[in-house]
Amino acid sequence: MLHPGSIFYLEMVDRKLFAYQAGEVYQIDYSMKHFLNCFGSNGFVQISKNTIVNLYRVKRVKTDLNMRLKLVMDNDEVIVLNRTYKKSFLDALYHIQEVYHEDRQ
Amino acid sequence: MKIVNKQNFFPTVCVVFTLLVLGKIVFEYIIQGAWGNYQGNLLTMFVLSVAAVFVLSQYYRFQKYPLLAVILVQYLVLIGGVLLFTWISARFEPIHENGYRDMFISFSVPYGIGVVVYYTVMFHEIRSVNRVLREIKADTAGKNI
Repeated sequence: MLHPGSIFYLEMVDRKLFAYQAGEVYQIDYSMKHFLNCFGSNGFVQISKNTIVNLYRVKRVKTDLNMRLKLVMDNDEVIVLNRTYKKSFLDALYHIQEVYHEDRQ
Repeated sequence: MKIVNKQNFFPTVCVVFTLLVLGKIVFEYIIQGAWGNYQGNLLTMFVLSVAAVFVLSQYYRFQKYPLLAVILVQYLVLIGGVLLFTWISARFEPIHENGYRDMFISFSVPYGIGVVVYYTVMFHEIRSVNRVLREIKADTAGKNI
């Protein structure tokens, strides 16, 4: 059974959802919407029409000259953050930060 | 219910100020027949502001295109509109010999500043995001998330 924390990102291809780990890929029996409903509070956020990323597996963010945001994952794989989803990505990230700050206090 | 709150206070001031200035120009023209360079310049700035904000507001339609290309095309559309507006104005009132040059500079410099500010803000945002990611990584190190 796949542990959500081991998933780096998910991608919808031909109406099938694939979960990408460090080196393996698995097809899972979820729709994107259903997966986000179940695991959205575990750090998963949609970053494009067909991609969901696990925020805990993002190493850093970078941009190119066209200001396209790219997420560098823990395994150095790079995926593109669509500008349309930038706000929800940032909201989810800062929400996690707030939660950790509250836990520390 | 608050109509004017912290978020919309400054935009509301800008709207009220604009309406007052435009109202003043129209009022003075109707009552006193006053119309000169001062009024013409203010009205020109208003028309160009409307056009610029409209063009920039269409940015969301071009998300799939490279940002630099979008910025450049929007600039070309706007500067074309500015110079066209100047040319049309010249049919009704004489334009100074440096009028086109001055309009070009008056528009291009603020637009360029706006682009620089936008890129600077973006870079700072990226740095902030990466700092947050590092904090989260430090907090979750060793935990099975």
